[in-house]
Parts: sequence; C-alpha cells; structure tokens
Amino acid sequence: MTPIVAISGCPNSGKTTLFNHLTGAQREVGNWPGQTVERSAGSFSLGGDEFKVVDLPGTYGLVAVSAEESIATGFLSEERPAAVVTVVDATNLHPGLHLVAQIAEAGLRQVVALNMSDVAERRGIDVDRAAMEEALGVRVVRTVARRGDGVDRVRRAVAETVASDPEVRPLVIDYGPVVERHLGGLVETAIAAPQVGRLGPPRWVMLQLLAGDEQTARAVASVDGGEAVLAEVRRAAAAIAAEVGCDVEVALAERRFDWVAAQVERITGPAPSGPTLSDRFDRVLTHRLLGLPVFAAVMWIVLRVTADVTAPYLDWVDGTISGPVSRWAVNLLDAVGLSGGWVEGLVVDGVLAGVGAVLVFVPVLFGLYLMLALLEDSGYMARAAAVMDRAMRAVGIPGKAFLPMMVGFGCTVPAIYATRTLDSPRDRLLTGLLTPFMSCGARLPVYVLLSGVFFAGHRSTVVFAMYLLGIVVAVLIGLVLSRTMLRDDDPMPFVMVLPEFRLPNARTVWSLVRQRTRAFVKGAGTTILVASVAVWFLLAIPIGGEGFADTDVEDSAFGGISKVFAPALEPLGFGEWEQSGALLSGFVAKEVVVSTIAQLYGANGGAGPAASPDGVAGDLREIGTSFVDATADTLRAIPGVIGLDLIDLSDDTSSGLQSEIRTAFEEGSGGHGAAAGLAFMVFVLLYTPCMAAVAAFRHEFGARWTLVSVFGQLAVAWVGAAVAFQIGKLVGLG
Amino acid sequence: MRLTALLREIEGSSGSLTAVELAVRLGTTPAAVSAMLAALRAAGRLGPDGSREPGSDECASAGSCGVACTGPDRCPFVVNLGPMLEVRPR
Repeated sequence: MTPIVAISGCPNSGKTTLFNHLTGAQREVGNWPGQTVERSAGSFSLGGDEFKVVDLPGTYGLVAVSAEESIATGFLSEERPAAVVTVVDATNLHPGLHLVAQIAEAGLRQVVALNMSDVAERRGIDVDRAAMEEALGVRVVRTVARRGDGVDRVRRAVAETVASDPEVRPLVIDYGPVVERHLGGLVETAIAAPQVGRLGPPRWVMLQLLAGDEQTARAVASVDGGEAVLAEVRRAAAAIAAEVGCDVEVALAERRFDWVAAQVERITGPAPSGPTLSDRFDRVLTHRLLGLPVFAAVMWIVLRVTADVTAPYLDWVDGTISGPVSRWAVNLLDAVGLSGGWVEGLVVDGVLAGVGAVLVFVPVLFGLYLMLALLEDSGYMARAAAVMDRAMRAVGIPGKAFLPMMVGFGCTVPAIYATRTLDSPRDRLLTGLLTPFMSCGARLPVYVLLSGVFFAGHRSTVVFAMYLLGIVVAVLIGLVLSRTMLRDDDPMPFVMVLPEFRLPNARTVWSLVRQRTRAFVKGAGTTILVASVAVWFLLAIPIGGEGFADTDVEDSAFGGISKVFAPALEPLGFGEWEQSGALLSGFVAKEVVVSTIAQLYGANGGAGPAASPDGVAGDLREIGTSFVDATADTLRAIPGVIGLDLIDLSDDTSSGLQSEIRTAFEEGSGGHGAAAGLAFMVFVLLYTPCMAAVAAFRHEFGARWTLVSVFGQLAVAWVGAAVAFQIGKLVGLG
Repeated sequence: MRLTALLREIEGSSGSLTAVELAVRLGTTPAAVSAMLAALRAAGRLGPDGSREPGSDECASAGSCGVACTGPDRCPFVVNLGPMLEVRPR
C-alpha cells in the first residue's frame, strides 16, 4: 500500500509551496468531502518507492476552532498518515513548535521542514538544527520552499522516517502534578475501554478531551464505553480547574507553552529582553494620542502623491485618447464607410468620450493603489486600523468597524461583505450603513476632475478634505445611530496581531497594484462602457420632432429625464439638467459621473479630434514625446509632496471640457461656480456609491435596510452639499 | 500562570488590543506576548474572529462591480490587515 504523507503547518508557513515542490506536476485538486475547502493531493517517488502526499489546510494546533482546522486535525487523527511533514516558519518558531509538539504527542511520525531559513538567517536568527532534532526527537530539514531548496532532503527524510519503526513513542510533556495525577487515572480508564484506546495513544486522546476538542469527543462518544469515559473526563476537568484555579485547557496550554519556550531557547539561544525596532515604532504609531495625527499625515501624503504627482500622466492619457486614438477611430470608420453618421457619434462621443474620460484617471488610481499597497505591505495599514478602531469605539461605533471601512477606501462592495467579521447583527448593520461614506477609488476621478477645474493649485488638499469628510460624516452618523436606532451592545474584545514592520516587497506591491488597477480598467471596459453607450443612446433619442442622433442634447430623452430631478438640486448650486443627469448616471458607478460629464459637456463644446499632419507615425511620435514630457514633469512633481514645488500644477484648466464645466457651474450657481463644484463633490462623496454596492447591501442586510441606506445616503448627501454650497458662498468661493 | 493573566486582560477589555498594549499591561515584551498568543491559539482558546466560514457565500454582485470577485474575501480590494484573534467560548 502506498504510504500517505501529510503536509501540515500554520497558515503562511510556506506549506503549500513546499507541497507543490514535493509533488511537482503530479497533483489533483478537489474539495474535502462535504466541505468547500480545497484539497490538494499528489505523489512523489524515491528509490522506487512511491509516496502519496496530502496538503492539509493550515492549522495552529490539534484543537480545531475553524472548518479548515477541523479538516486538518480530523485527517491526522483518523487517517494517521505514515508520516507528517510539519512546516515551521524559522523566523517565528513558537507557533510552529506548538503544532510540532501536539503532533508528536499524538504519536505520529514526523519530519520538520524548517522553512524560510534564508530569511531567518538574514534577520540574525541562529537556529541550531542539530539542537532542534535532539530537543524534538524528529528529523529537521532546512528549506527555502520559495526556491525549492531542501526539497530533496525532505523527500529522503520522509522515506527514512516511513521506513523506521512504526511504533513511535509519543512525546510526553510534564503537565504538572495536579494534571498528571488526574491524567494518569484517565489513561487507565481509556485503556480499560479498548475501543477508546484504538482512537490513538490513550494519553493523547485523554489530553484532547481535557483540552475540549469536539472532534475527539464525538469520536469517543461513538464507541462502546465512550460516554462513561467522557463523564470521567468531565469530572477530572472540573477537579483540575478547582485545584489549579483556571480552566483545564489553559492549564495544559501553560505547561506546553513552558515546554515550547524552553525548546526555542535551546534552539536559538535566549530571547532578546527589550523591545525590537518594530515595537518602538508601534509605540508611536499606535499611540492613543499620536496615532491619529500620524494617520492623518500619512493619508495626506498618500493623496498628495495620488493627486499631484500623477497629474502629468493624466494629461498624457487625456491627450492620447482625445487626440491620436480618436483620430484613428474616425479614420477607421471612414475606411469602412461609417463616418459622419450616428455610428461615428456613438464611437467618438459615446464610447471614446465616456470610457476615455474614465481611463484618463488610470494613472491617478495607479498612484493611489501604489501608495496603499506600500502602506499595506509595510505593515502600517494594520496599525492605522488599530488606531482608527480605538477612535471610533471612543464615540460608540463598534470595535472592528474600521476594518471594513479601510476596505471601503478601495471599493464599497467588498467593504460591505467585510462587515461579516463583526460579531453581532447590530454591529454588522451599523458598520454596513457607515461603510458607503468612505470614499472609494471610483469617486477619486470626480474629485480630481472638479478640483482641477475649480481648485487647481490646491487639488490634493481638496481631495484629502473629501476623504476626511467621509470619515467625519461616518463617525457623526454612527454616533447618532448608536444612540438611537442601533443601541450599543458590549463590544467583543479581540487582539490584532500586527505584522512586523518591514520594507515593502516589490513583487507583492506590484501584484496588489496590478490586480487593483486591472479591476478598475475592467470596470471601464464593462460597466462604464455599457453606461456610456446607454447615456449616448438616451442623448440621441429625441423627445421632440428631430431625428435620431440629430437632436440637441437638451431635447433628448436623457435631457428630459434629467430635468425632472434638476429642481431638487437647485438649492445645492448645481441645478442644471446636465449636472443632475451626471449624478443620476452615477447610480450605476461613480466613474460614470465623469464619463457622463465628458459626454454632455464634450457634446456642447467638443470640436472633435484635430487632424494629424503626419498620419499614424506622427501620432505615435506625439504619444512618445508627450509620455517623456509627462515622466519628466512627474519626477519634478515628487519634491512637491514635501512642499518643494518645481512644477506648476495649476495651469491645467485650459482644456475645452474643463472650460465648459467651469462655465456651466458658474451659470447654474449664480456666479459661485467653485462653491457649486465643492458641493457637487460632497454630494458625490455622500450619495449611494453604485448599484453593485446596493446589491451587496441587500444581499447582506435585506430589502428594508437597503431602502433605509439608499434614501438615508441621499438625504445626507443633499444636506451635506447644501451646507458646503452655503459655506462656500459665505467664504467667497467664486 | 502567564497565559491565564493574558486571557483575563483580553476578556476584560473592550474592542481591539495589540501585542504592544498587552506587553505594557503585563510588564513583558511584545515578543513574549506574541508567543503566549500562539500558545493560546494552539490550545484553541483564541480563534480567528468573525463567523465567516470559508467559501460560505458567493459575492452577490460578482462581475457587476467590474471586479473579478468570486467571494467576499477574494476581492482584489480587500486590504490585508493581519489576523485578529478573539477568545473562544468554552
């Protein structure tokens, strides 16, 4: 029979990477029976012998507290594989050695793969492999799974272990006189019930029962004499708890902790007695008073880089789409005999103007995602969450609420799903109602566009103010709701395991930026494309007597629908039908606000792409030289983050579209265009994020609360925009 | 009885705690607190927070938000903030 080898280890120990190297291409992927957790199995051969390898879900110990852990512990105790390869992170021995100890107590033959040995070495962690083998009584192999180093040695160690005496002496940890006295009695009870004794080494089975492992309890209950054994265990657990003054499983954990700590000291030498550099950083960054201003300063830098440093590329993409790309489209349509008609209108004024207006902001989103990825991979985002969690809890908003809210800075949809991490339905609902006020990436193009028109010299400050306003509004609404409709429960305590501070890894950061930017571009190619085409058709359909695609946009179906809602927005300074129409289309997705603005004002003032005298070659040259210029401007804009302005970012309000927007807002607000622009941004920040977010909210909280959420957001947006407009007028924003 | 003291600190608090805060309260180092947390995690007294089961639900808006979203925790916009642990009921 082919021996079975299980690969176990804590999550993120490199277990699956090692499994992949061990098995190469020979593996099958499926699900564990009755579970949605993925199961990978494969095999390897050595010296003519074949070994079947099963990759177990990550687990910290053999007392399961999650579905994944139940699968891992169930497999080890029921299948009792011929050998277990336990992958231990060499940079953090404690968690891995707890698992090694429990597997050794279960009497399973084991090989330890001491993974990430290279990183441990770089960090100055000197792991004495020989001392580790002696301390644990198992074979220990150094590995760097990422590179496949040590995999052959693991294969040989597995083969030798499987060939060794199957009667393994289980590890015996001294659990202290009280526990040992009761345990001795329980072991005798187990031996007296033969079927219980068959479930594994009696001492280990009794330890699992004392530790409260439900799987072992079910297994024992199902065999003859099992119930009597369980009753005996319950009596012993109560007696131990009374004698030692704490729960029996904590008493067991205390002794196992001492054992592991002693082995770690033996293997790596005494632990450093003082705080590490990362700990010293944490004292400042998560400080009750300093943490908040530090977070605000970090976000300001992030948004300054996002809005200002990337601005030259924004102009480059804009110029490329409105110039060469539009020209190529017109020439192509001309070549196939479709120029001059409604198809050209659809392609140039619908698709290119709409989707292109959103794609212009890809560099801005790229900048935002790059900065957030750097913060995330360095470990700072986890600190920011801890700081904001405390601040929000202080005003009655539930602990953990800030975690979905952090996700909300990227996208509201996963943020609403992230509310599942909260414990009570009340906390989940409250956080779900607040999360849409966090400014998602899709709103950023609107801020960048309008702040470029009305506040060109202060673009990053305005964008920062929008993000801050979102947090402030969420806190205020949370305060009101937690004292009225959704009163506070006792908050559940929890520990945030903050990752070590580190220099961000270029590969990880690039992966995050690529995935998120691709998702944004994919949105432009799907949702925004469909919305742009729909808006164009509505603009082309006449209400009066003129022909299709031949009507003035004001007399189109879109104009007609928009005019119905426009009066409600007049007190906010943006009561023109184009503005209400843009906001109406923003229900689909917030980027659509920008694409609709481009279609509407582009249609009013757009002159179409100017012809290129040098044809395609000239266009390509133009794209190349403008890219070089944009790169040079970006490099000159970087010192601006710390106040050294080497480039004037206030001169980019000269495009036809921006002039059209400025004029329209001026006319619609009685000469207070900037105040109206500010109010418009506030409205975009606060009203319903998008249809997908509404669907996610309904999925999580039901139709009734979805209505409350949508109409509540509209009311808050209306009031917020009215206040912004009035304040803007008062302070003289023209 | 260091683990017992640590558990009492966690149970007696409201909301989030970090290893640095716990180290100050217990008069030890954050590294020692992390080791104790690992011990309680291995013993099943601390567990991952929340009620999420892996793959328990599909994203209701998969595709419609422009994101290759196959589940609530598989969206590219989900920020990795590190694990959170809470006390498991006996």
